[in-house]
Amino acid sequence: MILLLLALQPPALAQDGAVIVSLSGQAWVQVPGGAPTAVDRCATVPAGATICTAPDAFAAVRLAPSPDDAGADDVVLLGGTCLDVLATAIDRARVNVSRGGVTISPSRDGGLVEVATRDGVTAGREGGFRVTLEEVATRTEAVTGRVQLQGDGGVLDLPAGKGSRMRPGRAPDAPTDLLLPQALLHPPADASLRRPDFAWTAVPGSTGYHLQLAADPAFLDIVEAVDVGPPQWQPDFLFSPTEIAGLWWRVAAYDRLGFLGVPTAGWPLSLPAGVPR
Amino acid sequence: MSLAVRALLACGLVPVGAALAGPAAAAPGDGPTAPRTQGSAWAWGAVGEQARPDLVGGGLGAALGLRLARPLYLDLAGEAGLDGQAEPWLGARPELRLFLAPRLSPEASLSLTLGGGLRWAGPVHPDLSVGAALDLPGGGRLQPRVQARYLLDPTGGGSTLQAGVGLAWPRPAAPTPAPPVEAAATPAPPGPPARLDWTWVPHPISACVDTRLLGERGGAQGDGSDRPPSPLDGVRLPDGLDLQALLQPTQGSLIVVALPGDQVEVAGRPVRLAADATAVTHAPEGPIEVRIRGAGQLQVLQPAIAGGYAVWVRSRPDPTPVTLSFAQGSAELTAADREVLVTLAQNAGDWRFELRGSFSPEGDLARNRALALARAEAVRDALLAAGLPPTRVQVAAAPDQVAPDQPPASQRACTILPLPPEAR
Repeated sequence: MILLLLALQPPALAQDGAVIVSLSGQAWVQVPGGAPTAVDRCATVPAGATICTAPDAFAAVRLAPSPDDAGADDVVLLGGTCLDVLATAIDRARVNVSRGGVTISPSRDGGLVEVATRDGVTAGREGGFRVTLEEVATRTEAVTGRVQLQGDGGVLDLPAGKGSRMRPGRAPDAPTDLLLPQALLHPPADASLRRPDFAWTAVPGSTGYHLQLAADPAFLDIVEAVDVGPPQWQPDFLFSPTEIAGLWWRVAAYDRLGFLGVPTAGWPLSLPAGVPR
Repeated sequence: MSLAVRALLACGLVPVGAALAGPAAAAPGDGPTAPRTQGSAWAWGAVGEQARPDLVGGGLGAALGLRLARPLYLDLAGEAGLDGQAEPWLGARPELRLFLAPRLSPEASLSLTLGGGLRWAGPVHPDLSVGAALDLPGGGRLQPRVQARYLLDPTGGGSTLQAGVGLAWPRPAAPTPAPPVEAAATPAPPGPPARLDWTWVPHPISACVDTRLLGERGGAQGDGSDRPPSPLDGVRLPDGLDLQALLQPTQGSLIVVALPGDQVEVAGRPVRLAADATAVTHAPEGPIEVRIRGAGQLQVLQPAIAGGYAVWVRSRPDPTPVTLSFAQGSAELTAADREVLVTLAQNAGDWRFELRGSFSPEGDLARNRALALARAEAVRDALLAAGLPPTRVQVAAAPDQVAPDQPPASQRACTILPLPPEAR
């Protein structure tokens, strides 16, 4: 515990900004005192500004002033999320989630990322965790990296594969095991996505599934994300850019407590032959 | 010497000019950004010693200034006027003009002149001149000029003072600050990294591009067209490459996901489905109509096509059976039933149909089974009459019992069950 606290000891924060490295749908950036401005990918998000995604939009924000800083931490915003970029520095970044949920991608350089909500702070150096603002709590899932939950009523170290919730004035809930993934079935890996009929093996104890389709294997450039009940998904409508290296899909299962489990490995798909790249 | 000339000299013309300009005003490179040539025109009047009426009077002049060095011009002037006795004369006057005081204001400048002239009014009179001119702010490219010149006859024949107003053009540009001298031994202190401005170039580059590499970026496209704004509006490549052209083609891809046996039209044109009942097509940006016929139903989908994107649209996942109800003891189709069957036949695609007649529990079973069969055959005949091939319609055997858990109106019926085409 002490070692972890020492490891999480933050350096001084600098007031840099962030860059939107991927965007599907609409997003807005609002600087303090300004009006929300619609942005495209590659737009900068100054320190102190807020980025919000539309309900059906997805965005990834690199916590660095340059999109070329591949070592920086990336934050993925699902639909209907508002994220305040408080500060970013080489070894430490701090953001605040005021609506929706974010995923911190697995980190490459071990920088500290602190995700604040009204219920507390989730901090981790390894990335690979999710923070979702619920109606009365903040849900954290340490998917591949350990995190520390700093709630009003105490601190909790959460190893990878565990989930917990923070509530105002209370210590974080006891950790719970996240559901592990089962196998993806269809379309098979490396298949051409002519007919988007997705199917996977059911996870015992799950109450539903979250499927993501992305244009990159790191799932930063999310094309579609849906919650479904049965272990299959047949979209009536799907929309994807074509100037991409390919598509990848993965699935994670919800448990009865509402925690989203560890996702499957992403399976690659290709665009149908005849689609111009 | 006139009083005016004395007064001018008493004020110390040259020292005044030097004081206005400051110590570095005449330093090379510190003057205004000088045009290569400068024209000027003026009107003047002169007073002088009454003993030399040929030196007084008034006239007009014009000059072309040629830049010798950055603040130094050679003015080639021509003049014409009337002297104090109203006699006409012509003159030529080369002068050196030194711009001294650009720091008076960005819009004003002071210059000193030194030269000589020849005046022809019958005899030729030489003179030497020294003067000053103040170019005043205002007037766009034309700049008002107030000038004075002291003329001295080198033969000892007298002197005079001219004063005039005129215009000069083009105005020298405001001075550019001299570049600072770098101190090589003192490195610059580290500062915050410059904030970069990134632009997303969606196709075919598909990456964030530093706009500094693309050149200056403007706001509106400014071409007066009604096309929607693009993030690339105003972006220029250094080599003149047109990024908007690179964005072509603006077509998008449409992937129709149908069911075996469906027939598909995109924008009114039939599309051939592959073996997996899908089709990949391309279309220009904008809404497009997709018609899918199959299993007796017509679906009209209207996706929007976007350049650089692919859209998948899917026909209904499960074909829906159609049930026609009959009156008790009857196998007669109503007019509404026949309209339904005509529509079904028109939208059959390559689907087959199995017709299942049924009956309610009243009456004799054998008679009811015959009635169920008659209902299915009535539907079959109507479908054939509507143009459906006989090979695609099959009448199922009559059931042995009443359909359970159904209201009587639903039991006295014929269900039309779509079946996909048989595998070949």
